[in-house]
Amino acid sequence: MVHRPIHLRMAGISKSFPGVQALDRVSLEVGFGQIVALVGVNGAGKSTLMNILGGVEQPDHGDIIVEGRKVGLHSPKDAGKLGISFIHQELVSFGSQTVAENIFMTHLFPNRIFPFFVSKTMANEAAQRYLGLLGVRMNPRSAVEDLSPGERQIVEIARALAMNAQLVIFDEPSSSLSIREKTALFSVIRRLKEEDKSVIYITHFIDEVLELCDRYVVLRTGRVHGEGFVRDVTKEDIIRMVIGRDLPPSVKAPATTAAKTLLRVEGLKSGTLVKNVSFDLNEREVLGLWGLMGSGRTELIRAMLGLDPLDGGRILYLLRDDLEPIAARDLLRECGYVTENRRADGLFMPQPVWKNITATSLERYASRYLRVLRVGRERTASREVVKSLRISGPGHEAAVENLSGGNQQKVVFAKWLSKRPKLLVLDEPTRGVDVGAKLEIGALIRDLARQGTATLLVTSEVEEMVSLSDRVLVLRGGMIVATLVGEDISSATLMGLALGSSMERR
Amino acid sequence: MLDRPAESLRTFSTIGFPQSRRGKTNAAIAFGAIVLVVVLSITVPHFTRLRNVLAISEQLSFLGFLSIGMTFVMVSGGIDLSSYTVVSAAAVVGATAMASGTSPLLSCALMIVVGIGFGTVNGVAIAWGRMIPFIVTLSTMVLAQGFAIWYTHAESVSDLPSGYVNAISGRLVGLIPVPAIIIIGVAVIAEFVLSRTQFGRWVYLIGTNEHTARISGIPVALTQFFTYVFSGLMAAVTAMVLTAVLGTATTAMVQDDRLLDIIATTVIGGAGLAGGTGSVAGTMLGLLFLTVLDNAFNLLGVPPFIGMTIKGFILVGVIGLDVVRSG
Repeated sequence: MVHRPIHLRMAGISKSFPGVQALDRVSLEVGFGQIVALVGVNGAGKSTLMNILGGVEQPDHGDIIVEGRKVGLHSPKDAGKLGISFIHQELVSFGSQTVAENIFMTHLFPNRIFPFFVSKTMANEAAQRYLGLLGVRMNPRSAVEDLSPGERQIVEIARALAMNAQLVIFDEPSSSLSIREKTALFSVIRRLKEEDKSVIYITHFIDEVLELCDRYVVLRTGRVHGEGFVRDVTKEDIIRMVIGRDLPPSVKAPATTAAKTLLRVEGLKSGTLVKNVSFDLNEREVLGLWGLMGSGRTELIRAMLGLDPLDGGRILYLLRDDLEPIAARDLLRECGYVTENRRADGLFMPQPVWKNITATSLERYASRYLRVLRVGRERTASREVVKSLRISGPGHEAAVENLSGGNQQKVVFAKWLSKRPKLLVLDEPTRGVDVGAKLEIGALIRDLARQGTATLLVTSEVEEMVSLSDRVLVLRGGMIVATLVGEDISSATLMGLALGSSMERR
Repeated sequence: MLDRPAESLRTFSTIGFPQSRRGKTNAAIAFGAIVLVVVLSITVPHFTRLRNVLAISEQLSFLGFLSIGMTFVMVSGGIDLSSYTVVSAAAVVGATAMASGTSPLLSCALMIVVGIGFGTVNGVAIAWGRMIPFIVTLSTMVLAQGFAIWYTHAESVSDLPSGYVNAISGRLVGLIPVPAIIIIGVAVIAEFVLSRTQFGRWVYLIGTNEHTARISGIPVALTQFFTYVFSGLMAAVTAMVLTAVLGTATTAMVQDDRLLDIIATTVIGGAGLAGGTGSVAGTMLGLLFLTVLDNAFNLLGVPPFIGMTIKGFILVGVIGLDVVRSG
C-alpha cells in the first residue's frame, strides 16, 4: 500500500486576542475520508480554530500541514485553493436564483455557440451530477427560496464540491433542521466520506457525534481536553470532557394541583396553520407544545400574542381574581417572550448588555412626568440579574454581540425576567446554545416554575421537552391531537408522534 | 466559563467597555474640528476675528435645526429628505400672513402648523402605513416644494414687520446673534431628550432592531411617528429664523445641495445609515466641521465649484467610513 500523508494536521496552534487566550497549543488531525467532530461549549475556541483554518485569522504560533506540506493560509482564497470549504451556520444563498445557479455561482458555463452568454442547460446537467454524487434528487431549476433549510444546506454542500472541496467544515449544521432533514444531511455527509473527502463537524449535540463521526476532539477554554475514536467512549464521557463535570440530575418539581389557571385559549384560529386550538395554562406549570416544523406551534404563539392576525377564538387571562378576556396585543405586554431567533428579534446586538436587559421595563426607571431615565438604577438592576443568571463575558458595558451564544441567550432571559412576568412564552429557548448553558437555562426554567411562573415551552429537542415539561400538547396540522402528562412524556412517545405525523403527511 | 465562574464574574464587573462606537466617533470628529480650527486660524487671515467667529455661529443655526431633526429620524432608522423644502412651505405661509397684517406670533404658530403637518404626513405613512421612508419623504419633498410655489405663485414674500425681523436677526448685547442662542438652546434640549429620556432610548432601540423593539413592548409606530413630527417642527423653526434673517420668504429657502450637507453632518457626527447610532452632540460637531470648512473656503476665496468638489470627497469618505464601520 502506498503511504499517504494525513490530510490535515494543525500542530500547536496558539492565538490570543486582547485579554483572552483563545487557543493554547491546540492540535488537530484529520485523516482522508474521516469525519472528525469538534465539540465544545461556546467560547471554547472552536470558531477561532476554524477561522484560522479558513484563512480568516492568523495564528500567533503553530503550523498547518496539508497533505504533508506546511502551508500558509493568509486569506480565505488560500484556503479555497487547498480545497478547504466552509458550510456556514447561517446559510448564504441567493434565494431568487435557481439551485444550479447557486451551485455554480462563481464559474458559470459559457454557451457553446455564443460564449458571451451562459449555458443554463450545461449548468443544470452539471448540478444534477453533483447532487447525484451526494445521493440527492432535486430539481436544479427550482428557486432556492422555495427549498427547506435542509435542502438549502445540501445545495451549499454541492457548491463546495463544485469548487473542488477536499475538506468540508460544517458549523452546527443541524440546529435548524427537522428530524427527517437531519437524517438526509447525515447520509450526504457519509457520501462525502465515501468519496474520500474529509469532514470537520462542529456541533453541540453529543448524540450526533456518536451517530455520525469517526473521531472527536473536545475543546475547552482554548485547550484540547480529550480526543480519540468515538467507538471508544460513551455519551457521558464526552459530556464530562465538554463541561468539565458530571451532569446534574433532572430537577422536575412534583406535580402541583392547587395552582390557579392563568391563561385560557379557546378555539384559536389564524391563517392556514392554526385551525382550532384550545388549552389552559396554570400557574407553576411548564406546558410543552410538541410538533414538527410546520405543525403550527410558532404560528400559534405568534397569533396568541397578536403578532399575526387572529381569525377566531378568544384568550382569557387572570387579571386580579378572575379570568377575563384579553386582547392578544395586551397579552404580549403581560408576558415574557423568548423568540426562536435571538439575532432577528430577541436582542439589540450592538447595544450594551444593560440596555438590552432594561429594554422591557424602562418605565420602572423613568421619572414620573418628564420620563427621564435613571441610568444608575438601570445599571444596578441589570447587574443584579447578570449576577443571578451567571452571565459572563467581556463586560456589562460591552455590546451583546461580543458575548458567546449561551450568554447571549441568558441575556434574552434576563431581559424578560427584569419585567417579572407571570407568563413566560419560550420558543426554542436553547437553540444554538452550548451544553453547559443549556443545562443552566433548563434549571432556570424549572426554578421559575417553582416560584409560580406559568411557562409555555416550544422546543424541537426531545430531551429538553421530556426533562422540563409537566404537560405536553401535541400539535399536528394546526390542531391539538394529544395531551401527555407525567409518565407518558417520554422521548419514545414524543418521537413516535413526531415521526408518525411526518409519515401521515406523505 | 463553566469551570471558573468566580473568575469570569469578577472580570465581568471590573473590566468596563467605555469605548462605545459613538463615543469614539465623537472624539474623532471633535479632534478633526479642533485641528481644522487651529490650522485655519494660523493660515487663514481674519479667521479668528470676532466678527468671523460670530458669523460662523450664525451660519451654524441655518442648517442646525434640520440636522437635529434628521438626527432623531436617522437614529430611529429612517431618513427625512423633505425637511429642507418644508422650510420653504412653512416660511411662505407664515410670511404671507405677516405681510397681510397677521401678528408675528400667530404667523409663527402657522409655520409650526405647516411644519408639523408635513411631519405628520411622513410619520403616518411610514409608522402605520409601513411605507419606505426614502420614498415617502422624497414625495413630500416634492409636495412641499410644489405647495410653496403654488401658494406664492413663485414670488418671494417681503415687507415683513420690522419687530419680527429685528428680534431674530438682531444681536444680543449688540454682539451675539440671536439664532446662535436659539440653536444652542434647542441642541441642548434635543441632546437631553435623545440621550436621557425614555423616548430617546426607544428611538435608539428601534433604530438598532425594530423587531426586537416591537416584541419588547416598545411603542414602535408611535415613536417613529414622533421623530418625523419633530423633524417637521425643526423645519418650522428653521423657517422662522431664516425668514427673519433674510428678511424675505422664498420658494427656495434652503438650496438643494444643502440636503446632502444635512445628512453629512449627521453621519460625520456618528449616525449610521442603518440606525441605532448617532447623537445630537455629534451632529453639532459635524455641523461645526462643515461650517468652518465652508467659511474657510470663503475667506480664502476658493472658487465655489472647487469647494463643492472638496466637500463632495469628504462626504463620500465619511459615508464610506460608515459602511466600513457597520461592516
